[in-house]
Amino acid sequence: MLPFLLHGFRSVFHGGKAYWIWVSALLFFVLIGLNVYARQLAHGLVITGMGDEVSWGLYIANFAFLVGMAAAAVMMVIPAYIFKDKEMHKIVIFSEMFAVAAMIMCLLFVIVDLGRPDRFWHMVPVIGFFNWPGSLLTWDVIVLHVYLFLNLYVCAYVLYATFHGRKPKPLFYVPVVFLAIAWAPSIHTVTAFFVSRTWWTTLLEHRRHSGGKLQLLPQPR
Amino acid sequence: MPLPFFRRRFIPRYGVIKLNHGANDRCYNCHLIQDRNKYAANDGSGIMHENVEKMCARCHGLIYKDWRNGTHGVRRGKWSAQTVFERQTFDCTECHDPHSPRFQFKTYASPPVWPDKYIRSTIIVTDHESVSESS
Amino acid sequence: MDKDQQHGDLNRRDFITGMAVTLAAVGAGAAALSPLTNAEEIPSVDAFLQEHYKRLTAEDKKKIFARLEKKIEKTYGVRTTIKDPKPLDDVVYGYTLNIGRCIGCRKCVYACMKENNTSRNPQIQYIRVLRMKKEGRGIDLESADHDYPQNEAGDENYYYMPVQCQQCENPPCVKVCPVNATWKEKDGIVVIDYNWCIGCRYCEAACPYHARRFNFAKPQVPSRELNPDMAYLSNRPRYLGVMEKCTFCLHRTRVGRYPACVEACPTGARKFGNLKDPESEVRKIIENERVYVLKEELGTVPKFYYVFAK
Repeated sequence: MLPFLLHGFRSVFHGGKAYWIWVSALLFFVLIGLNVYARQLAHGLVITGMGDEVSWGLYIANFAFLVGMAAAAVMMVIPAYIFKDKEMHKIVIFSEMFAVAAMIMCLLFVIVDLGRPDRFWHMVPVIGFFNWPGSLLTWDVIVLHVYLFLNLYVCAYVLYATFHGRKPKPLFYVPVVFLAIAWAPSIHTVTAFFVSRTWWTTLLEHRRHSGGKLQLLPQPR
Repeated sequence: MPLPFFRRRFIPRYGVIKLNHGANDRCYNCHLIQDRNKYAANDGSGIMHENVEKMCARCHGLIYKDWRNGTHGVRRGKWSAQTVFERQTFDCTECHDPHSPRFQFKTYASPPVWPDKYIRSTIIVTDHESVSESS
Repeated sequence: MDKDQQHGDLNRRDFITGMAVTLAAVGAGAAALSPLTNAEEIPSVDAFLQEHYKRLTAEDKKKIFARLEKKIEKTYGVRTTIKDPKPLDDVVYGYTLNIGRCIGCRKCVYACMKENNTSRNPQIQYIRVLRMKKEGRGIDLESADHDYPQNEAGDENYYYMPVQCQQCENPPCVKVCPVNATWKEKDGIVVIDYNWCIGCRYCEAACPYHARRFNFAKPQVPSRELNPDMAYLSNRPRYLGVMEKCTFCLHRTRVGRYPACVEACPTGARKFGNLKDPESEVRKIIENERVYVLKEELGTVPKFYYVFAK
């Protein structure tokens, strides 16, 4: 396992000019994001421009978008395993990795949206105090984590087997792929419920005097 | 500790009194003619200022009933009052000027302070009946 | 393994450049994180590890309250005792508000701010007074305006309808909270544990009355205006990034007093009492007057009743 990880770590630093330009451009944006998040931690969510009138903004919009991306990524696997399309097998590992990346970003967007990220441990099942069947946000957190780990497992297993020059044994990962395929609509559904449950009581009403305040785009006033 | 917003006091208004009390336009309908410190009851006896509501109740019986129930008028102190001392109940004349009994209150407070981007210059009135039915 | 041996030379050089790049990245990351050094609020270890209110024993509470009192004294220079009044037996609070009598003066709004130590800058107000034209649509929330200027209050042609937390019997905000930081007490008051809230604002989105407020910035209360009569669940100073809401002033009502907004109302439009007591003011109003609740069709069953009466 260790050589596999070491090799992965080393290969990060291999690449041509284009690779390094791309990486430094990404790092530049990462640093900007980090800086802004540090400011948010220091001064509160007020720096995002949200307020009581618009309490959820681009963070939650991005979260919903990335859930869709993650689910869609695994849909790419369907032709390979259900319709037995041999050509599509090449794309499987990429789509799984895309799902993992989207899922990680998704969960990060939720954490970034919290007013008190230091209290995130309140959401950890045993030591915290989970509002288990009641709140759809807890459902969402659980479903997304499971989905993340399913995809992470498939990616890791296939890559690990390939690294050792073996052909990955279908028994060890194909059931998980099917589970992930089945799980993909579930993350979609739960997120849809999560959003609809929020505005279940408020969508019926006018936005200004109710609570429905998801502002996906800046609205002219 | 909360401070009362206006002090409980009876302000005697001297000078020219403008009577603006509807059909009740005679001084001695309320003031006792023999003793000007008292108010007139139905049977010609006097009512002291402490019981001014008894005098008002001669005409405004329903409001008097509401006031007794606590549904009209201001109360302060305890909602679970066991004795009269735990609750302040405002008399009729503490809010209404008996000579011009229409309720008047002119000290209004400012609107909430919004961040600039939330301030609306115009009221948006949308016109779809389906939504207004539900609210 | 053997791959490493093959490209040993190349790897060493790459490793050095890699390390240099990594170090540069770490330095840039530290620079990016530097705003954290002037963070406005850093939780102490005790505060970080504090348990949920319902899981605290009496001793824990004593310790926590002592800690909070110390902190308040340090920040505001005001010596206080944080109380923890329990719900009274056989009491369910109800509230009635006479729209026919409300003149929209907003005395209640400012009395509430003062009583509940809500942030003055940015302003947090639990009560919003909606203004609606009497003619035409009547009570129509869509055409309502909640930031009318003060010289337009007391107008005969308008209804004024203050909206605050309705203390629902079936509260949507409690249902959606992922960590049980908000719950309904036995006497019907929905409370928040400010030390447990993670600040996801799900409850604010779920509330159909827009009754919840979030501390987007560090709440600021001048120490001169701090109300020292505090309770753990209601008006102690709030943290950055947590939710807060109207609690019917439970530090007052649970010892039998009227809420601050009732006492501030100059017209007597606001009435408060025990719904279980047939002799109380609110029961008499609900039984005898034309009463309605806001957004009844949502099934939240508010305990806040609006009255149309002279």
